[in-house]
Amino acid sequence: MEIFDVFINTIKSIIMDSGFLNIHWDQALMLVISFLLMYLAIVKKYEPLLLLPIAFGMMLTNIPGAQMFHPDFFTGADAVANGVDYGQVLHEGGLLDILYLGVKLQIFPPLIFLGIGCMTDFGPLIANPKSLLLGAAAQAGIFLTFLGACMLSFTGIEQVSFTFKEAASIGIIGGADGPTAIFLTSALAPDRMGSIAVAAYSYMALVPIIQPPIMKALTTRKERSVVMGQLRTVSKREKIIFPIAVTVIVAFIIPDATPLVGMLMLGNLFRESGVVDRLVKTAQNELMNIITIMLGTVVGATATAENFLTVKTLLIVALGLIAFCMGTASGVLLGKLMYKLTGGKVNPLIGSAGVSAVPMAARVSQMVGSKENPSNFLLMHAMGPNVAGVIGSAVAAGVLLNIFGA
Amino acid sequence: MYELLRNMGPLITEENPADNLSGMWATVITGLVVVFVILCLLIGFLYLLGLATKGIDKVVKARDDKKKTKNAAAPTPAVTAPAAAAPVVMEADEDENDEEIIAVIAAAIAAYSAEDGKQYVIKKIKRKADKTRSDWGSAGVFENTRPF
Repeated sequence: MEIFDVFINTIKSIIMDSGFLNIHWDQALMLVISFLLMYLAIVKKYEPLLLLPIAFGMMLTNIPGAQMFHPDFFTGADAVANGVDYGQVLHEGGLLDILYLGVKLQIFPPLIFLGIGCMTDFGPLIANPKSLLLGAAAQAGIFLTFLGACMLSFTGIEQVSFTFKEAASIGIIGGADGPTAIFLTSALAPDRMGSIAVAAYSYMALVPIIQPPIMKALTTRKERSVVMGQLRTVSKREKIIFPIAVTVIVAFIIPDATPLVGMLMLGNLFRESGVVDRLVKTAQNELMNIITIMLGTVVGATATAENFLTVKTLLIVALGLIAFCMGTASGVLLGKLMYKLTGGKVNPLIGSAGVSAVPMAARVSQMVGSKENPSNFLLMHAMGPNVAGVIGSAVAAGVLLNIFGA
Repeated sequence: MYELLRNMGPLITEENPADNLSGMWATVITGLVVVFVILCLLIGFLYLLGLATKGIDKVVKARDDKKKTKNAAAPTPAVTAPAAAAPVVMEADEDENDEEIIAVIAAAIAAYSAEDGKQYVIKKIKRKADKTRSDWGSAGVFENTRPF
């Protein structure tokens, strides 16, 4: 009889602790959102490498009773007042809490940049330095969206008002660079990490849909048909000096941008030096994949129901779209200016590639250009502004960190 | 000066943008200006780097040419000049003097010559100055650059 009682009580306890009895409607809604994101990643193939772990992390964190992630360790009242108690995280935290340290301490995004550096050929940028201007122009979207997010605070309605730090984190979505957005948000607005990361990666996947209408609206058929001259050959010497010099120049002026720019350029130096093939292979494959799994899952885990299901999330999604559109438009407009100034030698379509999103944005320039003139090949010309955009958004993040991070 | 800059105090302390309108505008202007200035500095640096590299390449090329003429003047045992059906020597245009491209073309011709049994020597490599590309050409370039 005693065995039977223990059995019944155990079953009762399991049922009482189960997610079915403890789930709240907001957690259920978050689970549905995570399923939707998984669908987008698997079926629609929207940035699946990151969206899939993000969606799964989102699901894990919203399973009632699982206690996979404890946001209070990092953004609770105690943590805000006295700083994060890392001892508590290590002693009481679980897998996702400990992995979150990689985001909180800004370790993962720079390591992703190391891999990106290994995969990036800066040759088109070195061959045509003017494309850096297009990369800079596309960053206007970051600051204009920051302005828009700040303006909302003038309404006086708390639910739609953002702080300076939140506005800066929202603006960086316009940089179209996921690791940079996570890097800045983890420092300035960790509460908004989930929504900003989801918005940033979703829009990066939607670049081929978002950009072409803007590019066509701002350019004439004649401008889109411009065939650009062949790029000069870049010597190996230049490719080796470039990452060293960029790191020194950027880091001396904006030290806050050093983790991102420094690791990006270290990866690129690995690649161009040609003497550390093993390191290049590791950084761009295994290391990058491991970090991507950890980063994606833990960023998704920050999207708890109480943080995510707010009006602010909807606003972040809307402002993120505006940031993308403005970045694209400002890049194309500067491209048009360069078209005029060079007497028609620059195709303005390459300006839209200034929003990072490597190499998707460059492919879109190629795609739109080849529709006007099938023998036109803009891809390598667009890669210049594209990789310049990566440097530009890292610098912009450094500037925002410098202003608001202290 | 350093002390003066050091003691200027924090940049923006307010949380709410509505409390610091000038801080909001200052951030936008500073951000755009700093990003443009840094990238303009990089542009300047890249132009200088391009010029310096060109200069260095010229010096290296002149030195190599000098060496070559010196070697040609000295009587050396002939190492073989394969009898050429469609003759010649490496001689690329100045801006096309890329050893990697020459090596690739030489390798392609070597593979081709292995098939027909004849020997070829590359005399000159010149880029074809066509502005447009055929559809087949475009498809080929597209295929090769797809990883980007």
